[in-house]
Amino acid sequence: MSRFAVEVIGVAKRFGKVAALDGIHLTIRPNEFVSLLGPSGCGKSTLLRIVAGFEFPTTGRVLIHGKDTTRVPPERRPTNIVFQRGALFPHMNVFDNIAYSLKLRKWPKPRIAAKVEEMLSLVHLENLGHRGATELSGGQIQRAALARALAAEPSVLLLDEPLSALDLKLRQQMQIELRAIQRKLRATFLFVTHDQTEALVMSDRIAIMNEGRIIQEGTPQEVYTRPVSAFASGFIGETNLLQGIVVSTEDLVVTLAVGEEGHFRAKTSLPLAPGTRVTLSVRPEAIRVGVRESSGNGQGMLGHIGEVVYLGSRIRIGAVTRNGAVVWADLRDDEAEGLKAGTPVVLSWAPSAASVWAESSD
Amino acid sequence: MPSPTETPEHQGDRLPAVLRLVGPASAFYVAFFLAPILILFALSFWSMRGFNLAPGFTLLNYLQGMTSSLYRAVLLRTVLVGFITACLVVPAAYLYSYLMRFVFAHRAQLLLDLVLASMFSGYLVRIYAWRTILGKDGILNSVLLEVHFIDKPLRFLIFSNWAVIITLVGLLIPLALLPIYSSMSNVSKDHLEVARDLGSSGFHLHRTILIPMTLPGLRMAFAFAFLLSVGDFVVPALVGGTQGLMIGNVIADQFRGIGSNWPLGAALAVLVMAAVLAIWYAITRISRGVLER
Repeated sequence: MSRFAVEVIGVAKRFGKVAALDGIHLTIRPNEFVSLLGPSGCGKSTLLRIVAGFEFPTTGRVLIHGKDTTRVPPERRPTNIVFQRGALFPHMNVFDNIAYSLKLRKWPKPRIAAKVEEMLSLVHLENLGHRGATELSGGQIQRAALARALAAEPSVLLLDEPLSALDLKLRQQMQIELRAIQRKLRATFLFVTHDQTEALVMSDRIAIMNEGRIIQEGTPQEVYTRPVSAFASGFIGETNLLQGIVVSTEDLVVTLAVGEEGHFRAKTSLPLAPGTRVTLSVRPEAIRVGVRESSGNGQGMLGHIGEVVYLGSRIRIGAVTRNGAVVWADLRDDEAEGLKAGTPVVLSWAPSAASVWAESSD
Repeated sequence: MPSPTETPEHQGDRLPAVLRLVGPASAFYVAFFLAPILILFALSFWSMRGFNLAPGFTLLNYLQGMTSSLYRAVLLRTVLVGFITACLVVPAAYLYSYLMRFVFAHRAQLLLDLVLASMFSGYLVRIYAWRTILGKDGILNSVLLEVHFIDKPLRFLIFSNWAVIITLVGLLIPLALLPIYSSMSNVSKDHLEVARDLGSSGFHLHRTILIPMTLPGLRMAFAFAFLLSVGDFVVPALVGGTQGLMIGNVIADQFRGIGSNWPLGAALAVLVMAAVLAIWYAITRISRGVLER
């Protein structure tokens, strides 16, 4: 038995001349919740379909629990999938939908009934077994589709944007429930989404994809706080990007010059030689805004406030630096007190809150 | 005061509006469908006095229709031909729809146009086309002779039940295709993929997912094929010969020319209708029973 639930090894997929996936390596441990996150067309669904068996890779291999399933059709794979629109069988009621794979396996009737009841209560659809598949709300359809896939006892459950057709409130509730179900069943989930919040909320690990490649992989904290490229930092959350040149590196802290704005420090594990052009990323909530009394003491970036935007839970400040760049900072009510357009400010951040990467690494 | 359209005492006013809407269609239906059927039904109880129709009430026409071994044999054969035709047409149209919908989806419009083009070529033209294929000196026989597969023309190809069935199947596939394809459009690729994902494949996939989901169209296609072939008298007249005679020919003969007998023809028509409806009812019941597993 392999120690991985899924191993995707060097998978590439071409549709005609178009490369949908290229050089994909991904491993998923048992009981892990992994999200494939990326914009539409990045190849995340294609990768999921390759794991499901609906597509075969052009090159590379897919192992499930150590067994090579690269060319095994979906009906003979230990994976099951939930689609964006549920795809319940409309000519069956909820019970028969969930029982579909069990009847196929010729389980005895009482055992099927018990399993279906168990699944119905797991997804909170108790007493709706007799309901026709066409008589359900959007949320109920997705719950039933989830129950149907889980009833088949997959060793890996694949979810293709199953929540994206739901409205925000329901989606948030389902995210928490889905996570709870995954924990409870100690199941392996591979989840595809374009919604960064969804990925952050639910995942043990996130693989960010763009243009057919995985560009970063890590825990939600890792990908959020230590993005490896402008794309990754921009796709997960919002960020300020500043261009600079490395001045010196010591103890994993790089000092760089950002135009005439001054010298700033950022934590990095990358070997960056002095003179390298780099991009610096700082999240809006990591930026401290101080009212500038004098011309400053060189600690921080000088500017003045251009815009103050009220966001409800926070206040967003758009500060214009001396170069004319705009840096966004999210502040609490009390922090933003007295700040208004035109106020001269000094912007600063902790080196650990900033990420840098060489400019060509995108 | 409540709004006028909401109060019960004003509901009477709404009725004429409804009648105005459904009126024209209903009038057309009554004039051109219901009335002829009722006239036919009434006619079946009349009798012939010499060459004239005599109004009255007699069951002799029905008695003759049911007891005559000739009529019984022809009716049985007609129903059988219709049934076999429908049983060939529906799977063929289903297969074609499946290919159009799921295999060559990007060429679906072209495939549909090809079929519709054949319908534009006309009923008689297509029957004659089959005659040139199946005839004694037809294309099929010529080719088979040419390759020395046979040494004299196959006679059963034309003027037989077989010829009638083949021709009817060819005529009716396009017609059966439309309701089936329309039903199949409701089945998404997701449905088939989920079913496969859950372990289904091959025949099981068709039996449990695609056929039940396409059932309304399949039923309508079967009805088209069965009813139209049972009622047809042109195909048997042109390619059926004496052996391929069908009840439509017998009935048509009662309404024209020497020896015509309208009341008998009407009674035979009513009998056929009753037989067809009974068979139709039985088939729907059985098909439902089979699919419930």
